[in-house]
Amino acid sequence: MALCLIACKKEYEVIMPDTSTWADFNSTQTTPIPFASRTPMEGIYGLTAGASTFGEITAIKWSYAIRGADTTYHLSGFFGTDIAYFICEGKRLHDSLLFNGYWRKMVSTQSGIMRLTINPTNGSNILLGSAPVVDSNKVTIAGVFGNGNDEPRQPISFTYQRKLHKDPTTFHILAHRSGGRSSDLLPVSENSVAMILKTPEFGSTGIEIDVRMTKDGVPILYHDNNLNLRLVQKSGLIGPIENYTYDQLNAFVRLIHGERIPTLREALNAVLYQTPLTFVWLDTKYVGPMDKVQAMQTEFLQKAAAAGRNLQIVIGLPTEDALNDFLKLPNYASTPALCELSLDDVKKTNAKIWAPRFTEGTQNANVDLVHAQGRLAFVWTLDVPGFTEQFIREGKFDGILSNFPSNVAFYYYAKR
Amino acid sequence: MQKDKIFILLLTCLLCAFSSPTLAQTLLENPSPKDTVITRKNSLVLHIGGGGSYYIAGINLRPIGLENSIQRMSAATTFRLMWYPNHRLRLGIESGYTNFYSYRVESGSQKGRVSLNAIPVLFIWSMPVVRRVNVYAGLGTYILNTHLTYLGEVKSKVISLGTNFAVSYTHPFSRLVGIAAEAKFMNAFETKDATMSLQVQLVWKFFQW
Repeated sequence: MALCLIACKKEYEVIMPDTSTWADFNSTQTTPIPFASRTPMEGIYGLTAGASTFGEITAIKWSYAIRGADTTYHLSGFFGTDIAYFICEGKRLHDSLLFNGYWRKMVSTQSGIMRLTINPTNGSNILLGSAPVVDSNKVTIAGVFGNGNDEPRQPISFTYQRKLHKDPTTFHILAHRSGGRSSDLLPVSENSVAMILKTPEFGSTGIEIDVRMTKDGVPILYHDNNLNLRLVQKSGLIGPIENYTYDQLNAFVRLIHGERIPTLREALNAVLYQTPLTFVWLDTKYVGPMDKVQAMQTEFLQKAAAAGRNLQIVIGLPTEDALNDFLKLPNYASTPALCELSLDDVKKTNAKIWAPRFTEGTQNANVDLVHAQGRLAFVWTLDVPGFTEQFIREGKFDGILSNFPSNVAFYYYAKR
Repeated sequence: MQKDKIFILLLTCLLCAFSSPTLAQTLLENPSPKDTVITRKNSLVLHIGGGGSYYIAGINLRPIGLENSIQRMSAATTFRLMWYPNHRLRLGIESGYTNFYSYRVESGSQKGRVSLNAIPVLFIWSMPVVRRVNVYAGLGTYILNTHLTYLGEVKSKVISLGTNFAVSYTHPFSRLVGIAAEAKFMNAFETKDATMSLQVQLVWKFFQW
């Protein structure tokens, strides 16, 4: 019986392909892609090869993250089939633009190498010109993709069709657990600084992070009640995370991909100084005083203002307990908050944002009501592509929280 | 110190069992032991024993900046109560104690220790497969306890689903008492902790009807 139980448990794995083997991309003659060439590339492209694997269109978007002294730019493509995406780094080689990276389908463990090129006849001359403007059919990105670490041989190409959709008001593409769940076999751990730096590549414009308190009162990022192997490596430490001090956790516990459990301070520092993210939803997973979280929220909002950054940080109120703790704060009414409870509770807390769960539907009348009060409305946690498309097409929400921000990005940017 | 205590406890149990009037009387009445403690009557049988266990699950400790050495060997004890009906399949419950693993850490003058132990609480199914040889399969929970002494002391626990699987050879001393050698695989599968243990057990049929 025991052997049967063990034998039946399947371990899934996503291969992160080795993308370091493209000789042209590794050439010493490559240079960074000029800044002015990047943004004009962004748009909706139609696939002329590879559509059977990835779908008919893709939304192409640039992102960046600052790691140490380096700023890394990534070109991402979001597809409408199987929550697929690709993420590539870009370089210029002579008159061509090269993009080297990987693709992944979030509904499965499929992944592989992606190599793309824009040569002068396909539009690199336009992009590398002064003040480039891209019109329909003027830029074609072509290349190959493969499976796993296999040499990529299957052709893919897509041609510029139109600009990315953009609403007059800001729409927030919010990534759950700082970018996605560890259980979705992402290359970095959920609720880690590494994931915060990674999530703009998925199209996220903001994040939701889970805040808990250590035994000695340090706000940290961690989702579950207990230390468990879904989130952390084996260390001998078990049980509620609140049983341990921050120094003990820092010394012994590593997240599933080896990262440290970050403090809230480290996480907000990363958001503010290393990413273009504009929104942070602090989901309070603990019951108790919120003064330390509020103080850190105030501090980082001031730092963002000083740095000229458009950054919102809100305290999430998911439960009655959290709401009651929030109301105990001396100046709660002026503290930016996001309330997941009733509309009455939104008024009571003077929350800036109302965030119902998606199972309650698009609720356009209630969203209109919230908008009339000068508040925003987000919806959580939308992971099914059909629902995501429906909420973007028919709903009036100002943001969507998802474990698959690339899917939200696809449907939002592809909206007509 | 804890191993010593367990050993003393085990020895005491064995000595108590062998020195009991019931057992002495039984041995005197049965100078020629039968081959097995199995009978066709309903009976309740107690297994008490202990031995050594080795932690076989994978572990890759990475405490930052801390020297550490993992201890996979430890003592293990078993307490099992079985109902032997008048057919081959037997039922029972099992508990005991095992230390999965422990390790010491050191950073400068700061020293500490982490240990993870478990108390199984399992439903057991058993049957004899050949003469004197029994197999056991258990399903239930493991109460896992961690004890950390580094930058303060923490005791914390969780409950994990788990199984065990054992095979034993029982040498009878009488119709009521025997001694068994048992190899056992213990698996707390939620926390991916597993040990193999070799134990010696007193098998005592203390009630029959």
